[in-house]
Amino acid sequence: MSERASDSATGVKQEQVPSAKKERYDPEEYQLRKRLPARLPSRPNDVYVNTKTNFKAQLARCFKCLETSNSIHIHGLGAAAPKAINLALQLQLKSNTPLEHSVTTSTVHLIDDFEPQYDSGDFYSKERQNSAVHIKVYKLINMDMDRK
Amino acid sequence: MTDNKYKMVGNVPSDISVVRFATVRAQEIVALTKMIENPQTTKLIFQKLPCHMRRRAMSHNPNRMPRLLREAHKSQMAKSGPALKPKRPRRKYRRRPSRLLEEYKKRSSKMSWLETHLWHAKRFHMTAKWGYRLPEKSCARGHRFCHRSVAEHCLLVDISYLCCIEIQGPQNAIIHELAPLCDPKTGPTFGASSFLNGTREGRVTIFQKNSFSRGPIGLVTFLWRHGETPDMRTLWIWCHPAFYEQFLVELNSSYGSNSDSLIEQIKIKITLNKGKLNRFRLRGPLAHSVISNLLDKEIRKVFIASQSPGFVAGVDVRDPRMILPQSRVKEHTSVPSQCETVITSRSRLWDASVRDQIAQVRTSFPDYVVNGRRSQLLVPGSELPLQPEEIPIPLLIVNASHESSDFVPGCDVIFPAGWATAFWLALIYSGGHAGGLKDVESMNFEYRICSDLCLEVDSNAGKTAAAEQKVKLMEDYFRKPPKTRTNFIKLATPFPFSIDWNRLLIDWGYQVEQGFTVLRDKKLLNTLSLNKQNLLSEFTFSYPHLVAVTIRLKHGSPRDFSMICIPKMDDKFNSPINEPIHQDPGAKERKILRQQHSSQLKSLAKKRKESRSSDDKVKDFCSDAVIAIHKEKMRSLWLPPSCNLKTSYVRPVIGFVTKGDFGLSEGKGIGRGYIVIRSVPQISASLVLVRNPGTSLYMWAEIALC
Repeated sequence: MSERASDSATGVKQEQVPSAKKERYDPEEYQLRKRLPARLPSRPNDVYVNTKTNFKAQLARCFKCLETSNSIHIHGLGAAAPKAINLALQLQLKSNTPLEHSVTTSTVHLIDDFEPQYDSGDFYSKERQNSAVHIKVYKLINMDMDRK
Repeated sequence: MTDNKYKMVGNVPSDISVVRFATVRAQEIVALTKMIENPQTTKLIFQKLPCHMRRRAMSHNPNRMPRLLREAHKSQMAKSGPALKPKRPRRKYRRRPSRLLEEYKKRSSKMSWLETHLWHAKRFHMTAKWGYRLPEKSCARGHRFCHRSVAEHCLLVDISYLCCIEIQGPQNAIIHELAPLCDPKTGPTFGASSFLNGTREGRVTIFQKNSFSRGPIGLVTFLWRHGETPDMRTLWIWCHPAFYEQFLVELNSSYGSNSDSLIEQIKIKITLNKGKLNRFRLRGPLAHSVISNLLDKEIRKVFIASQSPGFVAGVDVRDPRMILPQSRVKEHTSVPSQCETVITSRSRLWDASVRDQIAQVRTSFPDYVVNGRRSQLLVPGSELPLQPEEIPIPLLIVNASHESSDFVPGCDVIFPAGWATAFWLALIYSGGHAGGLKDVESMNFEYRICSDLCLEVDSNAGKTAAAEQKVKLMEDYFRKPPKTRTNFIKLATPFPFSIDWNRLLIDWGYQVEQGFTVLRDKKLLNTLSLNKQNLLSEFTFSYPHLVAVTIRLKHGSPRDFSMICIPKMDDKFNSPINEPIHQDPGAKERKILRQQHSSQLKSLAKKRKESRSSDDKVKDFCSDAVIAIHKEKMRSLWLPPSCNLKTSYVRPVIGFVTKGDFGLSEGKGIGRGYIVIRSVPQISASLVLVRNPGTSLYMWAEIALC
């Protein structure tokens, strides 16, 4: 019944628990720390969207990337997914060149660490999933059909 | 003709007696041979050489003389006094690293050097602190570059000046003795079950024995050894050198106060590992990738996957000099992959004998031998295959734990003494950016991490540091001419150089004979931050506590020693509020004093002149004492007088900012400071006013309990 796995290097628990018996943690006993998702390599045409930065600034950044490369990948995780979608659509609206988009979704594994606030508790972690959206926005390359 | 020629020889006898001839001539012969053998010439040997054999250099170099005459020449040169002192070697030769180390050994009694000192000294501005010469800030890289290193790459700091204390003994005895030193309400302590098996590093604030109401000694980190039985355990405590002495005194008193029989039963042993271990700190998203370059290929994959904060990993690595890349590489993130194998926390580093053995290897297998072998490799810059003299070096890699709401990934590397330069170069070449004390301070300011390297404001060490800073700032202030000094009296700044917390607490109605502390109780802090002050009893409010806060401004940024004030009820948000200029009663007095002083100096000078001309040396009209007295009086007239902080200004002061600047991580002005606990209920809507020292404008800011 216990959700706590042995304290290992990755700190991930091994068993699944039925949702009816989910143990809530006492905020006085533990502090929840969300671990950052694993950092993915970011090529120059990758844009990761977050909820804190100004929307206009992120839009400007997308335009800047589009100047140099033909396609741009927009990633949004969890609460930033609607913002990422909004960004992609605004990009299409406001751009001079015609743009197409293609969307995929994925699941990202996140780990939460529970840090004990007092002597009695123990470190443990829980894994949870979150959804992410990846939008590829690309310029249409003109195929010259008139050439003989 | 011929007769004349032979006339002279007429008296010559026809035969001579040889013996008679010789006896008479013997004296002449003896005299002549004497003269030949003992020349009493005034000429030196080299002057009697024929012209074509004389050389210019033979005046100082006897090797230019013919061999047979060399000895005699040398003795003649010696007679003319000692030779010139040997030529001082050129600057480049004098500054070679081996000679510098010899120099250092001569002067190392007061100041200790870190092992990486020579590398840092060429690239950093150094300071002397806590008995060590430490790098302060980089000569070439600016403040923003170092901030970017923490935010995006990897910052590397040498923190080997942290002192390690090893305690060995039965587990219960150790915990029992250390319990009075830490307050369980502030968080997990030495005996917390999560740290006992040695897979995680813990941090705890230590106080003087059983006196949690007075200030703490400081923040220390500790590590138990993994894989031991409860009868015999080892505990490492890492503490800052500023309060190392104080901590040792506390430890000795707690262990020494037992009766002798108990000590024999319990057998607790304390060893000071001060110079025996080195520690580097890496902070930044790429920290794990940089470290993984030191590891073997198989361990590398496992390591990248294991990034649990606070986790301790013990690994064995090859000698880093073998795998040093040929030039610096920029580090990239590597994608962590799923891995089945697990890194253990067990390490051979805890064994003192292993550490000594490894320190031996460093001297027996020196750098130039390694470099010689590497130069003979076919492909330049490739890894050296396993050498017979190599032994694997045990490392402890401690992942960074959560210290505040912001988390900066990173790790600490601990390894035996003697290997700092080798590991440092390997990490720098793998993409780490070196940092100094200023970068540590900036990390603490921006993200509130690395708090074990910074001193608490209510501890003795912190107060000493603040006093030193005050002296320095005052000297800088008084060095300016009076016309360009900011007049802190007129601009109503009570504490321009350091903050007097006692004064603040007295003005808010507390008694501070016992001293004050910063509130660290987690439960109370939680209730305060959730705005449930009515749940707290009056008792907590009656105790002189300070609460740590963060203030954020939209426009502008606070400075050090800024005042935090509460707005009045009817103050509208974002309305400009100004402090009127106060009267400076000291101005008149200063003017009179200045005139008096100059006239006094003139009269003393006159008297000195008179006494000189009248040859009456009875009195000494020295003006040094007068100048010293005048200087003290003038300085005290320039400093603002102490006044009631609640009532003297337009808005009541509730606290001060200890460190304020533009926060690069957030993009707005941030101040980290402390306020009086009694003022917390009076803050409405988390809005306060901030006034920078030497200014009159009150800026609106948001306050948050951190």
